[in-house]
Amino acid sequence: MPMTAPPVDYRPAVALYHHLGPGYESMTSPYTAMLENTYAEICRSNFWTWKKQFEAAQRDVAGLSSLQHGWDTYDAEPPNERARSTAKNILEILEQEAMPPSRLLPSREGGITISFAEGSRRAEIEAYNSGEIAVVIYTPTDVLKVWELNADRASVREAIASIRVYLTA
Amino acid sequence: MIRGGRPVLPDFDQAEVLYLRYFSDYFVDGQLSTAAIRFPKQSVNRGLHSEPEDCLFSEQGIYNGLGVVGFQNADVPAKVAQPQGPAYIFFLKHVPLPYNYAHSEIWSDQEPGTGNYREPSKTVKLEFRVRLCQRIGLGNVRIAAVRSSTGAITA
Repeated sequence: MPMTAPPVDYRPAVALYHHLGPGYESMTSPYTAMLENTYAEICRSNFWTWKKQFEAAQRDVAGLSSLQHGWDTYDAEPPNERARSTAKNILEILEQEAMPPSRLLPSREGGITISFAEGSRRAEIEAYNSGEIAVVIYTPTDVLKVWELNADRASVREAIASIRVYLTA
Repeated sequence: MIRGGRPVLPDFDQAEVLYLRYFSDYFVDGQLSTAAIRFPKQSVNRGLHSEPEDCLFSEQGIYNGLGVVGFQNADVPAKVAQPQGPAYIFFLKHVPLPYNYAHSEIWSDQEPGTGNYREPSKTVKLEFRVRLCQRIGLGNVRIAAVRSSTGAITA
């Protein structure tokens, strides 16, 4: 029978000890050292590294609202609210899938380009100002597949799965 | 760079170099990002009548910190086909400006071609941009960029 998974609270439990600090009376010195080491290890983990990357990416998307018409010196439109909203949704799904992008850039085409690179395997998702989304997977010398997406989460999730399969093959 | 009554020169040699401005964050793993190419009519400077530095000339300094990549006319994909729908062809058009004689544009048209501009579909445009960027690596940098797309200065 299908079951609904409850939402996961991603905060590290040991952060509580970290924020209390070494002077807190319940923390004796052996525990302080152990907890500090554990906390440092957790912060270095892939999970928290990705978490920071996604937070930075979401900030980058929000920051793109400051770009003006012609920001690229070639008369390009800045990413509009629609493109930024689409990109935020894509980033949310990428985070759930633990798949951080290599780069997020304002596109001269009018929108936002989310790039992935794994050795010679590359992929891009473009969220346009029109609300459309296009995806491409390619090598350094060939284009393997290019397609348009619906903006619904199921389609985006499916495209991300295809990119993951390609990048990790 | 001033046009000064000089004529439009419609012919581009396949080996002619074209110059394009770019931002420092527009290289991803050694390849120019597709974010650096736009439709319609991406502007470039033709190398027959300009140097890379000319792309960055502005009395107001608006191009300060940007870089320039150079690629050949032959690097521009001549055609992109699609399983359903017409094939598109791409070609250079010399469009001199009063203060930039070398100014040119990458145009597109449906095959067999009428000489007019026709906007391709999203997927054709994306494939074209990827195929062009596949030809532009770090070796194509003529002037290195230090300004990112959001205005930050990088070392």
